[in-house]
Amino acid sequence: MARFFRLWGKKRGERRSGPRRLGEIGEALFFTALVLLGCVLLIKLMLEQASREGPADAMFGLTFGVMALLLILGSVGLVFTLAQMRISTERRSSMAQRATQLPLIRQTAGSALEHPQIPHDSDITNSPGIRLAYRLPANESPVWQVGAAITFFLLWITVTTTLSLAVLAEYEPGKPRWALLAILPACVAVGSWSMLYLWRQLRRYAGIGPTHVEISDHPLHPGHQYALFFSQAGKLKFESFRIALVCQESATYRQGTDTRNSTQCVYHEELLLREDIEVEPGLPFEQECEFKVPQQVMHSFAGTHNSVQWRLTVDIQTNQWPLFRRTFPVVIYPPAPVTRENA
Amino acid sequence: MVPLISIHLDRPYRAYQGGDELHCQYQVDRVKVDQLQAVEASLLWYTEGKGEEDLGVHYFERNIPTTEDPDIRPMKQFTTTLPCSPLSYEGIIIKIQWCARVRVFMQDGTVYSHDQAFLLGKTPVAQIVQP
Repeated sequence: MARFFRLWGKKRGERRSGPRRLGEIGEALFFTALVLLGCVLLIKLMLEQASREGPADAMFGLTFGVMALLLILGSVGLVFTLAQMRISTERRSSMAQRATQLPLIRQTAGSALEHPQIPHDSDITNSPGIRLAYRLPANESPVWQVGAAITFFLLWITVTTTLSLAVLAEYEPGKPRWALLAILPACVAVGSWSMLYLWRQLRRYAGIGPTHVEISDHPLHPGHQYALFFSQAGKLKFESFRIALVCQESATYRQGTDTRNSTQCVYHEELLLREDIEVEPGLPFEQECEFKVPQQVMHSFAGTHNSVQWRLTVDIQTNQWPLFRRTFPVVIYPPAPVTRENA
Repeated sequence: MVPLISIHLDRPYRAYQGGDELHCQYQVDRVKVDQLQAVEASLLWYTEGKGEEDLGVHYFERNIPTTEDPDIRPMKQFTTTLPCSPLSYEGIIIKIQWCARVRVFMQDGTVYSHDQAFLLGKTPVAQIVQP
């Protein structure tokens, strides 16, 4: 009995502990109720409007819109739920996949059809290098971080200045405006913090300078050897400079209404380590090295919620700032299929 | 009574490589002809682990009773060339599993399914690495 009438059920994303069929029926009933409610309220509204003499009520349009929205939401939800109940996951997925086989989509999705679930490398190979074939793009650009810090700082300074002027303009001896006076120190404190944060970001960005990574070929294949070229600008003294090939699993899941992401490093190979380096002004620190992608490794994989990501990481340790990391994504393909003649 | 679903893959250890041909035979038994609404056979991969499930169908066919062939229980088969990716993978928080799945739809709305797992590629089991 408890199996069918459980008061509480566990739910994580699409997975739940209760009976699936019962959940689907409940969902269908909910959307049916929405459709009925929308219909009844719409009919009632129309009848009231028809019996009314004179011009239409000012709120008629808004009320009509809300009722129509109820009806539309309910109908769409009901159709979707019924379709899900009748069609298996495999059939739905197959239908979606067949849509990608259409000639127009097939042209744009070329490599994705040859190597399903492997991320595109067009963003990686669209920039030629100076020494080697391709210049790899960085995963995260410091420009965004500095831009966000500048925007927040400017907005906050505007708010604080306006508030300060309002306090001064409305100041009357013996009648201070306590509410405004109480907010002002907090605004000044946040403004000071944002200025300090912006200063640190600018110093760090200007001090460490840009990192360029170039690679001899892309995408990468297991067992193949590749050349790398690194260039690091900036007036700095590095304690250490490390370059590594890293593989990371990443999974996205929902916990209640939150979407969470979990990562796990499953491969880490140090390709280059240099210690106590002094970068001369105007002359970037440059290094070249070679590396081989291991024969037996998992290829890059990109699902909707799960992925296996390969990247080159550059870790810079200085005596002025905490460890600074820049990452450059790469794509590793699976081993080429063995043909019957080669086998 | 629960129908008996049997799936047979052509390789004894059910290990394949990308580009290989896979031959699959399947059959539904212990059920009356008029109880069956449809039988679906698919070759697919899905993820297991910490994240939400991802799923991709490589091959799909649906059999429904017709006037020419009202009995969809006898053995059926299909052959398909396996893709190069994604390969089977046993990671720490992600696992990619390939399988042949047969789903049986009964006239009363009940659905039964059976999976036959197989390996695509030879990716080693992942290990936790501290960078």
